[in-house]
Amino acid sequence: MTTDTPKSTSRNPILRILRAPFFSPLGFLIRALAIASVFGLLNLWGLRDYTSVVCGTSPSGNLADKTSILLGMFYAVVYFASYVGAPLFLLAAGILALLERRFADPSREASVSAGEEKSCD
Amino acid sequence: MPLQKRKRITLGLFSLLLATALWLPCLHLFFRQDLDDYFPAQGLGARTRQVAQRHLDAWTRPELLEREISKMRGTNAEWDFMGRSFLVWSLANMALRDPESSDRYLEAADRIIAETVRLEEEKGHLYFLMDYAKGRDFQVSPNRSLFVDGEIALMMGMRRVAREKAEYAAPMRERLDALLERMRRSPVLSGESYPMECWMFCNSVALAALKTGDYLDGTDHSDFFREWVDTARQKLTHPATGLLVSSYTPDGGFLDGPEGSSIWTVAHFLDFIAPEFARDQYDRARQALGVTVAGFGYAREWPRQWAGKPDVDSGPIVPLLGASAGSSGQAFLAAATFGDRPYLSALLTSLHFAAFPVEREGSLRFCASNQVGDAVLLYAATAGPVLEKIRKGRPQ
Repeated sequence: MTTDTPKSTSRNPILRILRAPFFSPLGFLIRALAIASVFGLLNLWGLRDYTSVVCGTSPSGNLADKTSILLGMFYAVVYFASYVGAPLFLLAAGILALLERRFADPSREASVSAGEEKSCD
Repeated sequence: MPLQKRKRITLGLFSLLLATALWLPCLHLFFRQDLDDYFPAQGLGARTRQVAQRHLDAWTRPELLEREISKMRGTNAEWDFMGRSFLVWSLANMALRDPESSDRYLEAADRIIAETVRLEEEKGHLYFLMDYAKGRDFQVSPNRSLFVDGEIALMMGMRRVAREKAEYAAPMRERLDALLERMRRSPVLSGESYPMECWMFCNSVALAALKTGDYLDGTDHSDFFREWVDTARQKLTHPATGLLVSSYTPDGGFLDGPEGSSIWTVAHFLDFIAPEFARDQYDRARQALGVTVAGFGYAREWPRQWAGKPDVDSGPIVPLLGASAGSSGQAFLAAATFGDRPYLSALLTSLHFAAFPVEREGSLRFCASNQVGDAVLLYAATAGPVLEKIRKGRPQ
């Protein structure tokens, strides 16, 4: 077993959040929020109309307009990620938080706490 | 609370797995629709009115219409034409479902018919076909397409069933006579839509138009219909699935096998002339192409026994699932025709999940679709009263 020093021990709360490991409740929560934020931005940008590419119709009427097609496809991917991926990360964050509490290693918890106290001196 | 890395990853993966198992079966609940909002037994559903509004808006605002049409013609000129046909057929049924608004619906239908016939006269009979129609001659001369004649005849016919309009009687009869003559000249009783190409979709529309003509004008083509169904069963059916093929030569050589972008609508229009045969085709298509999973429904373009290639009719095919926008859109029409409400509900859930609905100023449209796709949905939600009237027959 390798010991794990999480990147999230920074004292800067924002850095601590951003550096949260992927497999952690905070890491999952950040992914969920990131997907939802990108989706919100794409909606504000009005990219939903570009999804006519799904049925083979170019949003601009010009089949050579690759940019419109890419934008439509990108919106579709983020849309599905926001309805499938984001809630899934959110749920997983809650489940993982509960599991971590249940399976926490008491000896490691004690040593980490001691380390934290020492570093505060 | 830090954990050992391997333990943390294991717990994380387990959490993701559990979350997936919990979320995916529930996802459809957020997109489920009340079927009666689209498919009520009587009248028009609230959502159906919103979809209709989207079309009526387009036909009263030329700049909006022009934009829609140019987008569709950029991919396929046929969609411009089919968008008109499905809309007129919808409006005729809507006039019977909602008699108080029938004047408004039939005025719109008349405007669309007039504009379509004008374009055909000005730009040529093949204006609504893809360019390859112009490269060679049809086997039966003159160069005329059953696709165009059949759909225009049925536009006029359904409008007349909703409320008689004497001006349409002669031009409709002229088209019916022309298409019947062309169908009779083929050993498989089928007319060409494109040079040397007969499409089952167009032939089923032509048969429905003939049946509508029988009701309106007192003609009787029941012998021809029986002969056509017998021929189709023997010569135009894919042996492994029992489904009618999608396209073939005037001599009956298969060009395409069974396709979702054809068979669902074919089953609907065959219901005009041979209800049992149509029901059998629907049941077979439902088994071979219809899919429901986790509350969502969609349709594949090809049965497992036929390998086809994506084209302009199928639209892009979703990898792994094999879902086709063209097939799924038309599955609405067949599921509504044959009263398959569980499948209809699953399709509707998918529509609201995956077709990017937008409600604006009392109208509803689906961004992942186009005008013809939304018109097929509108026709699926309104079809019924015209056929019911035809089945009852004219009072003696």
